[in-house]
Amino acid sequence: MSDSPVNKYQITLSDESKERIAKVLDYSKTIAHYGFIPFVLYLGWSSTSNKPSLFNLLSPFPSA
Amino acid sequence: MYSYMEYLQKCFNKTTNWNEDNIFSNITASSEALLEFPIPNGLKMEASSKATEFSASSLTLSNYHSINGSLAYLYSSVPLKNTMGTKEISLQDAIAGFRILEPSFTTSKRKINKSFSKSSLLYGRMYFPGSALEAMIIKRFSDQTQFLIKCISNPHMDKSGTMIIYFQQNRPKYSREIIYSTNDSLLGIRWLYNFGTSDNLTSLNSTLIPKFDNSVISVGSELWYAARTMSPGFSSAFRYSTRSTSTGKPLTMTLAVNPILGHLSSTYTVKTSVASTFSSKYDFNFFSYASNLSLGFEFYNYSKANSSFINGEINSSSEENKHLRELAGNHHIQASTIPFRPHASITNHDQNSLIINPIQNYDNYYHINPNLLPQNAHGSGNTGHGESGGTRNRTRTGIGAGIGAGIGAGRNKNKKNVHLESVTTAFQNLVNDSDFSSVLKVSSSLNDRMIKLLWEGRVKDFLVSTGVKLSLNPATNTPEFNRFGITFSYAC
Repeated sequence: MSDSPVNKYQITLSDESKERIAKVLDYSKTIAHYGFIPFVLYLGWSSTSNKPSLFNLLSPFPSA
Repeated sequence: MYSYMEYLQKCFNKTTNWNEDNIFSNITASSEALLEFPIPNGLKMEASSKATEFSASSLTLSNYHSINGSLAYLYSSVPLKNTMGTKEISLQDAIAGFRILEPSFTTSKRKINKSFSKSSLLYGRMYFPGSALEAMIIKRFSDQTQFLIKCISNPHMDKSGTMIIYFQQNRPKYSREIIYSTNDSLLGIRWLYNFGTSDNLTSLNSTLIPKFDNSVISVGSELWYAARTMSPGFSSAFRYSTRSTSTGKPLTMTLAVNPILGHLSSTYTVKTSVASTFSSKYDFNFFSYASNLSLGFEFYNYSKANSSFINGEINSSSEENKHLRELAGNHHIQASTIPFRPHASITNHDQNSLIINPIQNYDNYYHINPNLLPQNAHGSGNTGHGESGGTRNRTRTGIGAGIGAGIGAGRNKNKKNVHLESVTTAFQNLVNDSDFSSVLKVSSSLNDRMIKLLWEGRVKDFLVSTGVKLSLNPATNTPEFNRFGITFSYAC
């Protein structure tokens, strides 16, 4: 009865799960960091009708 | 000089009818381009290419401190068809300069035959060594609203990065933004309001609306609150942009106030001719009474007369000149005293091409470009009134008569509008169509006692940017080099 709504809905986490969440966040950050540019490349590749080769897509130099 | 990725982003905005000048942070863009242009530091090289119409890549290498570089990739859901490589890009598009502002109903009157409501742009750049990532995502929700997310992520830093999220609404009448940055939990609201324009004008026939004198008045302000440090921020700005009625030369003045820091900044920027712009800025702090006067100008050099236009190719990607590309083959191009890509209305009358400026000093008399007179106004459908009949065609008129023509035409409001419109559009077309090979920018600040010189231009197929910043050492009073560098960029 005396429980305030704040206490009622507060989630208590064990140290272990806190650690796990931190780890998951850390991993997702790394994936987003290194996966962003491949994702940009994939979007560019998939929206073109004549699928260019990977080399064409990656190379910043004009292809002959 | 814009990097290739910045240029592509501008092309994306242009294609999707997103008006960048309507955003509060760009309210002083014209004077900033003339006074606060960046000077390259060290040697830098940039090679870019557009692999497909939807993706582009760019590699930069620089030797500042140590050899470092970056690799960037861009994806756009809208095909970027009208982009140009460094070989054929017009310098007006490649270099930040004076921005000619137009009332929103003239810019929005272009028929939008395609909706870009779901378009998006993704951009990622990885720096090495260190593998820091710079990312940007633009996601359009409707034609006038978008999310913009910018992010920097560095795995080698304690706080591994920062992110800033913009929610932007950009309508002809106003624009507003809500901004959140993870850095200090910064929250911001920015808005800009345009006077004298209306949202529902797009539904009307825009030719029925008098254009007045092409002036735009904008007022905007921003409000910031850093939740972590509980510190507020506020600034407000006013911009007035108009055209000279006789020559059609555009000018922009701005006034920005930050009452919290007590800072007041006023700028005046005018395009003095087709190839030159002048800007001045006066800063004043009403708490410390410190003041500063900055002056800057840019001067464009025309490329040699044997420009590639003669060969049937047009060095321009400006929206206005699209039709010129189609017309180029059909028109006989007459070599003129200065090289420029003539506008269709001028090329129609080959015999008049000697008079290029709206009012030009030619054989010691001032001539009005006959194409600009009401009876010849391109597409106006009106015949001129009796006074300015065919006799003015290439007759000698003093400058007084030139002004008189403007006043005379003013008796009839419609005809005056046609006249003003033709003069301003003629000047604007000249600015857009001129084929420049290089630009020299000079800026100086009295209080900081420094001078900046920047030269940007086309060398072979490269765009080269080189500059130096010189300042007087306040202690020893000797001049010293602050910055010096050169940038080569190639794109195709």
